Amino acid sequence: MTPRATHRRALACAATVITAGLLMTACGGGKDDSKGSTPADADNAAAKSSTVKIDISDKDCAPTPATVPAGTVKFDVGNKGSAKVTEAELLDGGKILGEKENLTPGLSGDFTLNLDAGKYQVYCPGAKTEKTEFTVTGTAEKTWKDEPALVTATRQYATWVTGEVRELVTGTDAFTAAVKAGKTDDAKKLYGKARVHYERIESTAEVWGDIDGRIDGRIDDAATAADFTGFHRIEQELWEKNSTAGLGTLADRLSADVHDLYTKVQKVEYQPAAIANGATDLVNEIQSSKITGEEERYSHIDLLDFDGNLAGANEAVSVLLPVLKQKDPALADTVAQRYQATATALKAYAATPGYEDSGYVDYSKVTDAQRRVLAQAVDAYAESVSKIAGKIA
Amino acid sequence: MLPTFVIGLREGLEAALIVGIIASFLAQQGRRDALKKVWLGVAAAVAICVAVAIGLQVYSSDLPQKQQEQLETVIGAIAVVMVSYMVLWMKRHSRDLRKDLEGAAGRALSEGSASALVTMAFLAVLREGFETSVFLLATFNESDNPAYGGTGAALGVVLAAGIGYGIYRGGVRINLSRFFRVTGLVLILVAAGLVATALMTAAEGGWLEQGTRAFDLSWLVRPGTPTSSVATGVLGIQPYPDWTMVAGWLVYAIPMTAVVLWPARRRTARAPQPVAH
Repeated sequence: MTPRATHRRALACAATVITAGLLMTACGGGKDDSKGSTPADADNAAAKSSTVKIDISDKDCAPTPATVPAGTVKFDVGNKGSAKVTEAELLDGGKILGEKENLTPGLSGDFTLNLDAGKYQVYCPGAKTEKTEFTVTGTAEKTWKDEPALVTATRQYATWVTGEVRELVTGTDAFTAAVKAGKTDDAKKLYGKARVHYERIESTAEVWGDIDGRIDGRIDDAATAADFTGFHRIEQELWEKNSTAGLGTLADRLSADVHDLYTKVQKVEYQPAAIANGATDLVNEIQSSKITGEEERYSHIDLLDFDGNLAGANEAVSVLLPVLKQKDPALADTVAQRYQATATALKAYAATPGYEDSGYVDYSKVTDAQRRVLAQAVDAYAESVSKIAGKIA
Repeated sequence: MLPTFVIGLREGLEAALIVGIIASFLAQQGRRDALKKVWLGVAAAVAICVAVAIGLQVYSSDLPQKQQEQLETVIGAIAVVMVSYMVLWMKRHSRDLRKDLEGAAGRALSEGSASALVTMAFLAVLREGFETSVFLLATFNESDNPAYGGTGAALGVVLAAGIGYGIYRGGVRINLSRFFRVTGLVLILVAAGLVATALMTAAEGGWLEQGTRAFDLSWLVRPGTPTSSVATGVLGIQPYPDWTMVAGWLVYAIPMTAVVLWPARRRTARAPQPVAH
């Protein structure tokens, strides 16, 4: 045999071997492919699967949705009526990751890929717009939940809020019991003790606007006289008429609403930004309704409410402080200083046991000039607290 | 019906062409034994493809596109080698073919080469066969108008097979010398098209980066028209070639054309003929 013949025979043999191998790939390996990527993904709990619809037409092959999370992505490709464009490919720059060919009008098919975050293009050669952007967002998209310190902060805050509402329930029940028993003086002293807990978590309670309205609404918030209920309605009777007459129903309703709030508040999931915004709301609350003296216009225990709002804001800030110190140490210092300044300004009016056992003086005795000093401190504090949400999120 | 017809024709032609050329070549060589094997190989490949397609249909699974493209790339590369070999073989023997009509035995292909060509015919059908059979089934099953679309696709494949058979018959009727003169350059174009197509399937199979688009040939190869199925199926001309494909096409076509057109050197001494089997 000539050397060439040997060479030819070798070629023939090679061809046969390659065929055999490829047949196994095409027939055997083939079916594994679609499933092949799935078990690996199953290990990764974060991996998501999405379905993207692509309708190819003479015009384009725009994917719907155009953005999906990283993971397994199934492309359902259909051709309703384009004889010209019969395939769609997914490109990563110049690389073809997957495709569906030979889709004549009326045909559809699919292909599945495991995609990482990034920018891709859906490509259908021949269409008016051949390439359409397709975006895969990261599974590892960083959220606050990836930061243990923030997760801890939300948990601490949740525990604290729940504890405060439990105190609110206890305090309110004692207060309403006194009201129903007709013990006006006791009720007046218990009023503030219950309310301070509400003021601390007011930003959370405001999530349920209707309950908040029934518990803490003011006379000018109520559409009709019948809508004016809760603490301030009872406050009005106690201080203006010095009587508990006819308050039984109102007391029961207040108690029921507070219990309801307790049930609801335990299911709340807090987010760091929401906690920070809550702190801002509480400080603004001091400014808008405590400094003005309108919140407790009958009882004048506004300074106790002030104390409650301030304590609530401070708690929210405190749970976030470890993270804030890392992200913006200067702001953390400023917030701490201004809190101290505000607390000191408030402390000037502390008294034991104080007006109506509130721990503070009667707010109606605080002069306008003095109120302005308080307002300045609160303003400065509010300004720094409002910046926290932007830093930690 | 037209769109499915066009695709059926295109996919079918790629295989029919190679099988037709191989068959006529073997017939010219008087290798009726090998020719029989070609038909057997083709039938086997068709049977495998149909079986696989039906199997996939039953398990409602899909042919993995990536492996499919890779398979097409490898078989396409082998086809390029085979067609080139035939072109060069015919070039080398064209002088003898003219002179010596009865010297068939002297030009005979070695056993190995014949087997390789049989294998090639088998592979050529396998190459497009999977996709075509899956496509045929899909048109019958999924099209809005199954009978209509399916008939179109089937007609396309049948026509392609007919053209392949025509190439075989035509090739047999004329002698090899003329066959070569007629087909030599056409075969180079076919093989160059195979190079370009193999580069494209390599990109689709994820082995190569897709190059930037060289030019838009869709005016010539208007997608969805019967002419496109001939241009793409026979000559491997894609409507949207990229630079890699163009470069591959030129790198193959230019030297091969030069070799084929180069006047045969006068042989001062005749090369010793291989001994007849």
